[in-house]
Amino acid sequence: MSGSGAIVTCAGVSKTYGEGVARVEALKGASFAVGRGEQVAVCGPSGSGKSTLMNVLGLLDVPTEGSYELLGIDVSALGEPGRAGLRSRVIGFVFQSFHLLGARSAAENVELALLYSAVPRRHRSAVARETLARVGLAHRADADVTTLSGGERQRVAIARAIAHGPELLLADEPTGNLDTATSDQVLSVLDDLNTGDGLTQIVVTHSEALAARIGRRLDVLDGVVTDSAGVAAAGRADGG
Amino acid sequence: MGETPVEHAEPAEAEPGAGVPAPTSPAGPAATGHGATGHSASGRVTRARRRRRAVTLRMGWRGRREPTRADPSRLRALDVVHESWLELSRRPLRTVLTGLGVALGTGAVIATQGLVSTVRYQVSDEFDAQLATQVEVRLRSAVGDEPVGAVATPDAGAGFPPSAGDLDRVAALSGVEGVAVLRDSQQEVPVGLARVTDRTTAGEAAYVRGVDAAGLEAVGARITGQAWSSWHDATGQRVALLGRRTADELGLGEVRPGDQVFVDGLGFTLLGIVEDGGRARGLANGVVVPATATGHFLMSEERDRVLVVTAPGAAKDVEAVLPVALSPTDPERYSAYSPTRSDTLRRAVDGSFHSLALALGAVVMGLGLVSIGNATLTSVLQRINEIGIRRALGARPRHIAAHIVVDAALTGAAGGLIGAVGGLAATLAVTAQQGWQPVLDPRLPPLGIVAGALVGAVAGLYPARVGSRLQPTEALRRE
Repeated sequence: MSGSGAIVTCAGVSKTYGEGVARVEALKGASFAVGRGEQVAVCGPSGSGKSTLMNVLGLLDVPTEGSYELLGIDVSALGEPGRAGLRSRVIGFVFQSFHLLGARSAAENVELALLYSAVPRRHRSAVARETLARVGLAHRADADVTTLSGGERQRVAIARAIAHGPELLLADEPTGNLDTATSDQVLSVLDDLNTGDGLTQIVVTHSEALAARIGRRLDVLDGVVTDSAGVAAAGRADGG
Repeated sequence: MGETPVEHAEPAEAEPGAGVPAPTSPAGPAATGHGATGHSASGRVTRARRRRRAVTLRMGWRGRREPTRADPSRLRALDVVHESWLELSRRPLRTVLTGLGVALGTGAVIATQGLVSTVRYQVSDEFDAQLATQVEVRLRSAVGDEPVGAVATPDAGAGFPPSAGDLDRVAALSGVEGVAVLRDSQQEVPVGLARVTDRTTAGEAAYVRGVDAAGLEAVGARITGQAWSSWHDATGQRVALLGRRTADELGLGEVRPGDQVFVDGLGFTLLGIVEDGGRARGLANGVVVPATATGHFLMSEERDRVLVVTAPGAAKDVEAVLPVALSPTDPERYSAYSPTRSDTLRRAVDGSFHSLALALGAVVMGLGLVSIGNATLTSVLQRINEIGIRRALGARPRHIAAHIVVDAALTGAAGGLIGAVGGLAATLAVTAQQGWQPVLDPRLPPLGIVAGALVGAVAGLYPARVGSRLQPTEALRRE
């Protein structure tokens, strides 16, 4: 039970869409574990099943087969209310295209992270400002997000993903829409959160450079997840 | 990192109880995770989570314990309103245009209601003071209450004017303040003026009005010169007053002693001018002579009437006993009529006005419902991506539905508010222009806002259903 600190434990997780000839196996028996404080890169070509994997890990989608435990909680036993509860407390999402709400300030966007855990508004506001300060955007807290640069927007999105103190950060190509310089800024924020706060991160990327920078790597090809950590990970998953 | 191993152990201990969806310790890793490593923001979150129990309205999770990580997510009702406020207030023009249908509906109802009650107040103000205190009596045969055959009784003509004794009995009735006998000629007759100083002026055509001396007083006629007395009545003297309009037509400013008026060739001594007929408006237009002196002319039996002025509120009672008092032996001869009966008519008219206003308002509100529903659905389809984000942040389908319904309800309320203000403004503008005292029901404007909110909420139901059924993975894929 060396993997008792696992945040994520997948065993034989499969996801199929459609039926008959239209049946698509987006994920085929993924088995791996991610320990607390790990930073993991998920690599693979478009359509390989990365997004499906991230949706399943982020509790936005339900696997057709297999078991997925998040923080030791068997997620397949939960209904949508429980999954939504875990999303609001435990998971933070960062998207390639930021997905911020226009016509709102940076702080108001970050506050949304606490909206669905019924945190009173003034606390949300205070937390949002503190979190923006952590990503170096204290001075932009009241700026409309449409006036921010790409790098700033992604840092606002990161602030939103961590404001509620999640245990798992899921980032889907966080630098995909950014140039090299701003990418480095964003990545260093993510690195700080990992090394400084021990925040577990799973980062989808096309970039070999980014993948190389991250220690561990999961390769996804045609729905098959291959763990560069190899047999050890499978063993941990079985142990769970 | 000193605390980390302890936290790692905790989920492992929970695992043997497989299937139980949450670690048992309420202050589990969620509470200490980053706080232990100096993440001050999450420390704040933890305090906030503890405090909120006392102050939040919950949607969904209703337990009293601290929520574990897999408890349903929650959304406070106040936050739903605040989120909608943020959304709507930053796009004010769109909100107003969306709520325009409801605004028009509310405005139409409130303006109509305000104008109807204002007009009714004006009417009653003027109408009731005069007419609630008078009763008119006519020959039943003249009113047409009886079959035609019965009219031709030998003494039908003898019924008017009633004798002095009959009139005295009426005057003695309790509540009666004055009695006027009023007669009119069937047609206009030639009227000429002969003055001491001037020659006879060219004739004008005018009606002959018969009235008794007591009647002139009873109807409150305003006379310059002098009126005649009951002696003139009793003896059928040929004296006359000219109505102001007829006097003007004849070019007569004021009456001088010795002035005579020729009515259909008969000379009458002119005593004065009726400036204002009071209750009998017709007296200001025509030649007014004693009712007993009208035998020279062809009078209209249909228009013969006794006007009884009563104390306030007594009209109905007087009306009931008048025919008997006038003709104890044959009460059927007379028909009494109190204009306050028109209350019923007026109420009916008002009633149909109200239903018309309500029907109009309902139709426009229906349009408002369609317009808000349509705009909300469009807005949902435009904000699919936002719905995906909210779901990723922990919103449940019912939270999404709540956002959408409240968006629509607030839009409707905004429409209701605009309609209420517009309706009041329209009412005030019209009444000010007419110089009326505006009469407004203070319950209507708030009612309009509430009705607008309800219409909006109903309109939001279908869009909410659409929005809450979106799959988050699908929604996040849209831009």
